[in-house]
Amino acid sequence: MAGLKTQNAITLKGSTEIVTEFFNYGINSILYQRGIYPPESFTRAQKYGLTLLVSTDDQLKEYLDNITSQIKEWLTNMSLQKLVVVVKSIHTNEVLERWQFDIDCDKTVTSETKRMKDEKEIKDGIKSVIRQITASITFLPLLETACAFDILVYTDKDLDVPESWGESGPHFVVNSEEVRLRSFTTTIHKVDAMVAYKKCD
Amino acid sequence: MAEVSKKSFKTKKKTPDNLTCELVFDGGLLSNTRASLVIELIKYFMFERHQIPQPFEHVKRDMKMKEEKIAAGPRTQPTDLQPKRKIKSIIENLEMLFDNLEKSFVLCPEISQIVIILGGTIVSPKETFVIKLPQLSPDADNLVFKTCVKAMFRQIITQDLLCDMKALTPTNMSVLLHAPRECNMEWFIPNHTFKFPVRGRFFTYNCTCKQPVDDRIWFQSPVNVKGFRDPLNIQNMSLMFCINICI
Repeated sequence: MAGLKTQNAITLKGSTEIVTEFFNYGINSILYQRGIYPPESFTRAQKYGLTLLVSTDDQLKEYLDNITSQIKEWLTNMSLQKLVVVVKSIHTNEVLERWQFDIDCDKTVTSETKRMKDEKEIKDGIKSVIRQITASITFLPLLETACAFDILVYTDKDLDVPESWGESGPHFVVNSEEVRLRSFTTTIHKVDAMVAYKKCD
Repeated sequence: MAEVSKKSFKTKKKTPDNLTCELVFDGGLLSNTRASLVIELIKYFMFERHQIPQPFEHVKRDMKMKEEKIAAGPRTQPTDLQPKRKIKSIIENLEMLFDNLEKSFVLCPEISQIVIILGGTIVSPKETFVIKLPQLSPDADNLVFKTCVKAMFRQIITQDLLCDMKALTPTNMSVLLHAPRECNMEWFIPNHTFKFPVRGRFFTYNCTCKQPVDDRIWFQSPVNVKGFRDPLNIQNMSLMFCINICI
């Protein structure tokens, strides 16, 4: 009975781990689905009861590791507001797609707080979001040009930002259409997903 | 009151949850476009309802890559190939279904509904998906498939009927078409006894096409003709006539 109680409770640390892991798999899924990197540079991984594709490219892995470790810190101190994956044309630098994840942090939570939430329920929520990211290729326009990606992070103001991070504009898509995707919550962090893409005439 | 609740307990039937997704298209749908949309929807349901671990095209591509790898590599134990054979057979069956769906729409563009049933049998399924197609509209400007499929999935994902659905373990899928009796359907077999299942969850995808813009307007006569009640006065009329003659 005691074990059951422990399993259903979530702490700030646990929530941060779960959300960070989601971002890692989510970004990998976007890069694979949208063909930003060649499909042969991805390997299968079983996660959330899904077959997910994760990059084997060392440089990309290192880049994502750096980002996720910083995100983890910002999630722990509740200062992360948005994470955006911007897909843009290499040739023209035009923004073609913008995947936005809004993070709602419960700032009343401390490192001692424990919230009752079934881990399976959280994982089902994440699975549902990733499944929708995968299915979104059915309505997104084909990326006809070679593309690169950028990750933008919105945090609270007056935050000490590491030197490797620079300030940037919002990189909006000009003449865009938006589709709101599913969301999930750990009760400590809530993540809402959305994709904006260039409107086809 | 007690009697009513007792009665309802006795006759309690699990009523299916019925959800509808409205899919609106900006123009007409040709029969080959209709077939392709249905095929894409089947692929989507299979992935979204956990019948295949990845989107169909990815499964197919992975299978092809594996086959090429096996062909190039050393000999493998037959037992190692068994799961791959099963997946290959599923892919082949789906491709056969898709191919025959295309042929059926060519033979019979009047197909009005497609029912996709997930579950052990078609009588007691776990989930039923009904795709209702619009009537054929020869006057409408027909849309190209690429535009239709993007518009359709955008609406499906925005309305998100399946968001709260629990995972479904891999099960059987049956596909039924509703078409005129006299159509020369070749591959699909007539099922005279089919009735919509009363068990399981029920999802309707109702496709409608916007009608072509009617550029006709109403025109009204500039003169209002008023009715009258009194009978005609013949004497006065004659007089008037006389006067006219005199003039």
